[in-house]
Amino acid sequence: MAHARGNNSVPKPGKAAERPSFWRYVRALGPGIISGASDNDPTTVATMSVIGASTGFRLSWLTILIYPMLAVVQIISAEVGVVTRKGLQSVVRHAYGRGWGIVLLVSVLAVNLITIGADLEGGSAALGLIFHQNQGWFSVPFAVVLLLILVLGSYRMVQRILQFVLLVFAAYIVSAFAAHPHWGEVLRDTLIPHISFSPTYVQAALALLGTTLTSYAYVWETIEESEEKTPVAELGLARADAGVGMFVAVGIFWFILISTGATLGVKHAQVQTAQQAAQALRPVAGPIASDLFAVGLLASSILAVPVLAATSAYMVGTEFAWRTGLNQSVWRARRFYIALSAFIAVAVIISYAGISAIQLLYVSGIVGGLATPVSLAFLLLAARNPQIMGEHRIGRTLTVIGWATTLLVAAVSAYFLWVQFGP
Amino acid sequence: MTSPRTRSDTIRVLALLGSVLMFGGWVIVILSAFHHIGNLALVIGVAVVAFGVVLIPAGMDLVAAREVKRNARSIVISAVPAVGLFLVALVTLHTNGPAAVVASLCEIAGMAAYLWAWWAA
Repeated sequence: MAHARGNNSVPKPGKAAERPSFWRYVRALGPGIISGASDNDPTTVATMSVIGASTGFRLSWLTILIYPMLAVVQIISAEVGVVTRKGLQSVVRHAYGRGWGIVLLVSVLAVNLITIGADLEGGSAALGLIFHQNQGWFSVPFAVVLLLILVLGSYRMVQRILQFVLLVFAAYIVSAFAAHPHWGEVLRDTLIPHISFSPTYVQAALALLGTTLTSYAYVWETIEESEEKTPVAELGLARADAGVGMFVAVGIFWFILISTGATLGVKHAQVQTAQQAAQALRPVAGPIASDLFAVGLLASSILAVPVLAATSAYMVGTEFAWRTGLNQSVWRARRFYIALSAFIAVAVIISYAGISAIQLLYVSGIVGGLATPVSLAFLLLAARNPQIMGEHRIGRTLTVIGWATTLLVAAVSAYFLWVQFGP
Repeated sequence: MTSPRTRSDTIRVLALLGSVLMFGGWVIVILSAFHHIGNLALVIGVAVVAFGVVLIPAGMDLVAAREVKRNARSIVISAVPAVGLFLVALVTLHTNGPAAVVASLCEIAGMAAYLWAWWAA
């Protein structure tokens, strides 16, 4: 996964007339679908659980509304990656200068660090549930294993094998039916937006937007697509790939919210711990709901932490023109690997901050929401810039939906800050 | 002697077979957690459509990816957590005897086939 390719020009469309073979089509569908289906990282699962418990089904409409926003953002990031053959950090640095590159870097890194810490704590909490021990015992060994995978192993191989474990989260779909919610109420709340300005509701909405539109996902998407070297002629496939992937992801988000609302929300139960969050799976898994939840949470942590840490290290490496890439030897890309290790070390410290895993995951969703408008704005500016994208710059529809998404998240963030710190 | 084209197809078939088997192993383990649910059709439907159809083909790109670490050490370090998590799931989700054996065989055979394809690609 060598990163910088030093190609500043817009690649010419390849053999556009040549029809992609079946296997080429299948391979081209890879990055977006995997990132979509793997989007059920610990932050998302925890945030959906807390929202379902605290607001019931009342934010289910926003979950559905997120689909076009998420799909558009993923499509745009896939296009930027395919066309420029660079990650977003590299694109911004080259096009807008080092100062703006640092602004983007800081906005993404701030969220990433908290999210890595939260995900690490989520994985440790899962191990604690499985082995019935204090989660504090697992944070450091878990972090070391993840670091070993990144430094000596192959993250992509791990991802390939472990993505099946996310099948566990399909249990939420069954649980939503088994909990027998009032489907009329579910449909009404899903189709008719329910707006409230209560602090709990606004906080939940921001966390929902922040955890789903989280910046690392689309920064990683640009890196992945650029690494895949998808031909520009296959931009259509990349778009379809991103759209389908997000459909899978949002479908599962919605079911997590409904099953949690139907099990915990109706009882107005608080979700503070992983054990409490697991209770949403009780209708389908009975007494082993905690174990089932823990297996899924652990797998999603193993998948999420390396992506977050690698994205962060890629961005720092790009900004300071280091040799970057998980495929590089440790010695050749030593500064990249030192940054990677440093991020995981800081995340371990954050995970020991004394905040419960579920609460920290929820907080990282909120912080993600606050920082999202900055990185989204850079993504849209780059995607619309003809000097960067050439003839492949995004069209008006994508631009309008992209900026509407950015403004929505910015407005919710501003209101949240005003409620928290205003008069 | 096989042509490059034939060899490439063989590798992909091997990778697909490995993916299907690994997927099958996980389905068997996870389904056992739902043993008290009367109708498993929904679970199986969701599993096959949302994960099998979507994830198995998507993972094929890894086999074709050239620029990834490809040595014995990276295989061992990458496979160990996956094997560990599978065993943990097998125990904690109380998979019964015959199902546990079938699931383990699927997983081992699937992982071996996929790793072989990845190594050979």
